[in-house]
Amino acid sequence: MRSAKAFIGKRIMIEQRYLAIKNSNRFTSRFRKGGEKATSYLSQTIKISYVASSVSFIIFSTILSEPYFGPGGSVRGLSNLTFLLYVYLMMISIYSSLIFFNTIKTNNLLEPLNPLPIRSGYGVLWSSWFRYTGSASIFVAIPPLILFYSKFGSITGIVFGIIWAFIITVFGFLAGSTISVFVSSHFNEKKRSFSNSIRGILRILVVIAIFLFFETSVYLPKDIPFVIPSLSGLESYFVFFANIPYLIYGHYFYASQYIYGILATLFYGFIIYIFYMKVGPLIYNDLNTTTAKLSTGVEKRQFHFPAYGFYRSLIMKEFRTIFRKSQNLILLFIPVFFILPTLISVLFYGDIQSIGFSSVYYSLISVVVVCSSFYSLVMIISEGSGIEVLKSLPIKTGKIIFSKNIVGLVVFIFISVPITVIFLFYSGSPLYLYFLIIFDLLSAYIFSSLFNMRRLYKKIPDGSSTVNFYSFGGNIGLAILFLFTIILIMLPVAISIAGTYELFGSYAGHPAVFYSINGSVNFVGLLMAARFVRMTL
Amino acid sequence: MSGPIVIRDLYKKYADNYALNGLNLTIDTGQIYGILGPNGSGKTTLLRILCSLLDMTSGYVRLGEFNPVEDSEKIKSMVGYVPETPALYESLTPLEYFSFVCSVRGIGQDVMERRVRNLVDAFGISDKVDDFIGSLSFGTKQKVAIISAIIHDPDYLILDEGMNGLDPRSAKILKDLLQDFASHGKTVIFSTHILEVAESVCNRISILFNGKIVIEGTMEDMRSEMGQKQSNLEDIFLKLTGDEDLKPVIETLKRTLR
Repeated sequence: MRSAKAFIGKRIMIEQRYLAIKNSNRFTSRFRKGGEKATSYLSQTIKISYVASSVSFIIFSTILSEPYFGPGGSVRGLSNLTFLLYVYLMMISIYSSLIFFNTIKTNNLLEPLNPLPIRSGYGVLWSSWFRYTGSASIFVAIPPLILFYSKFGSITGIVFGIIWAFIITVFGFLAGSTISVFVSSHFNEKKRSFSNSIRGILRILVVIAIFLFFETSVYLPKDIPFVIPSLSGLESYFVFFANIPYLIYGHYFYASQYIYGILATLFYGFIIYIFYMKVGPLIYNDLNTTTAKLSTGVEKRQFHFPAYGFYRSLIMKEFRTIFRKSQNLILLFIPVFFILPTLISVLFYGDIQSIGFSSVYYSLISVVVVCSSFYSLVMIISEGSGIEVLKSLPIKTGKIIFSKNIVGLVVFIFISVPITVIFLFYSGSPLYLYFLIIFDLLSAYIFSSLFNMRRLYKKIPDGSSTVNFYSFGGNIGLAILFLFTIILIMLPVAISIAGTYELFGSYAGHPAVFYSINGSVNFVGLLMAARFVRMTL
Repeated sequence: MSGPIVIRDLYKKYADNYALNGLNLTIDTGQIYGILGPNGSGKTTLLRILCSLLDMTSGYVRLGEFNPVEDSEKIKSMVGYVPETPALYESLTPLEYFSFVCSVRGIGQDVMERRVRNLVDAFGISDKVDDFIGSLSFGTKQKVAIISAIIHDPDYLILDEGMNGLDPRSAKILKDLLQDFASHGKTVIFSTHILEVAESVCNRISILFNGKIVIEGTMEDMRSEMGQKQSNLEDIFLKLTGDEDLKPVIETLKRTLR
């Protein structure tokens, strides 16, 4: 039974990869038949992707940690960084768990198991995710632990650090799967009314609000780590998440401190275990629930027939496939989870009125980078097996890209404009800057996402019958996409900085000129991208 | 207007294997053409190349004057395609899906309404038009796929196992529709494993085996070529695909299962 479960766990991962690449030239030119060779190739891609993710997490974390071990580094600074790395670990786990459950549900990967006399259960899903994906992100927490050990010889820090990285990873997995089910309930059966769609969005907003509350409550005690001034003694061990830097970098002078640390770890380990045991079966049942419709007999009836023009019809289709399918809807809101920690830290930590307009702008630009990269991908993978429909219809690729871009833009406006207004309001910016910056961000989003979407759409293999997250290289593909977007968006910024310098000898004191140049360059980029996409067959 | 389908020396290679291995075929307009063959013989590959959904490795293919590689958009506007498993947007309702397909294909509101109403009634799914496609049974999804493939009155109708999952009433309606299509000078190509259907509906049939056509023609042509005046399509099929004598296989199977 154990080996059968291990087989299923591995098969779920292999199946996801197979569906993504089965029609690619690279795969079909090597494997016309399945069998061991093809399976070992797919296993190899999973391993490579796992190793690549782990190594990139280690490099990323080492680069960030290294300065704290130089002459000017402090343990306090390191503990602040460690806290942020654990927040990052949680975000990655939630996001990766959402993608995992999304792919399972979209492709009905558990359906072949239903007729078999085996109870695979939530545990199989957990082990499949953790073994082949989730555990890679734990490496992000390791480098500061090792560096700290090499400097101070604290083995306790390493032990607590690894245990808590595991706890946070499990928490992220549970949170991701719970969000997936919470948002997807009532997304079945009969056609959704407008109020039902609103209810779906409200559910996501509730999730975001909970997350926001969690984030702000963790950030608000101004200097969190080992030493949160407002927390002292016993309580500093027991405040979930805020206690992590304290447990890792705390000086354990007394036996009681070790005991408190162990008690806190056992306590939260137990809570997470109970959460896992209670929520797991519910989630597994939800994934296995399929709806079957009985015929109510043939009846003649009048129906309202919605008729739209070409573009409107394409756009309506995009809206419906995104907003009616919980899996797609959740993916659209993932950028919010990524952006919030950065934005909240700037708002609460940054002393926004004195950090200067460029720092505020770079925070806002991060919203564009994350949304543009993510939405370009999500809008395409939301097609799923619908890609075969789209490819069989006489529609130019350029028109498909435009319609997808419009839907992404609407969600982007919904997310970015309130954030921008809050930031500019807090930084005391003059009103004209609101308009300049919003125009600037929107044009940057449109031109970068047009380029991104075109690039991704062209990558869909000839004859594909489905697309999913792994069709574009999984996490590594997403990282490349981020890099590509950063280059696209930072090019106009570099031009604008150079232009403002050329005019005034510095750019810090001339926000209006900087934003005017940047907005204009982005707008030119937008026109170029639109032309480029229109020419795409 | 549609013209004949002409295929010359068509090759499609996957890894080291040829799914299509130098295939030659001409299908005249106004025919219902059956493509038969065992699993993996290249039927779906051929149909997907004709629909401009898959590139060929080499060869010459024309639908009328159009080339599926260079005139992809034109071909797609002339063809109605029903895939082997219905690929549909599961979060749309059938009505919304038909509306989407009609809008993209430039069909006017009046024509669209009339056709959808008639087709939906004919296939007996008018009580399902407001349900999510994702919640429909396989047979109903297949009906949605068929309606969306014929709604624009295509010059070429290509069905890959199009009868799959249909109830007898809908299968009868589809067969009649195919005959009506052909009588109006349109071309119907369909692959099937139900040999009786192929025998009763198709004007001409070809049998594919290992990426090549092993026999082609009307039922009469095939019988005379095989020299078996009384034989049916099943006998011809099994003989040409090397499965003529299945008795030993069945006997072994029975022993294994006992």
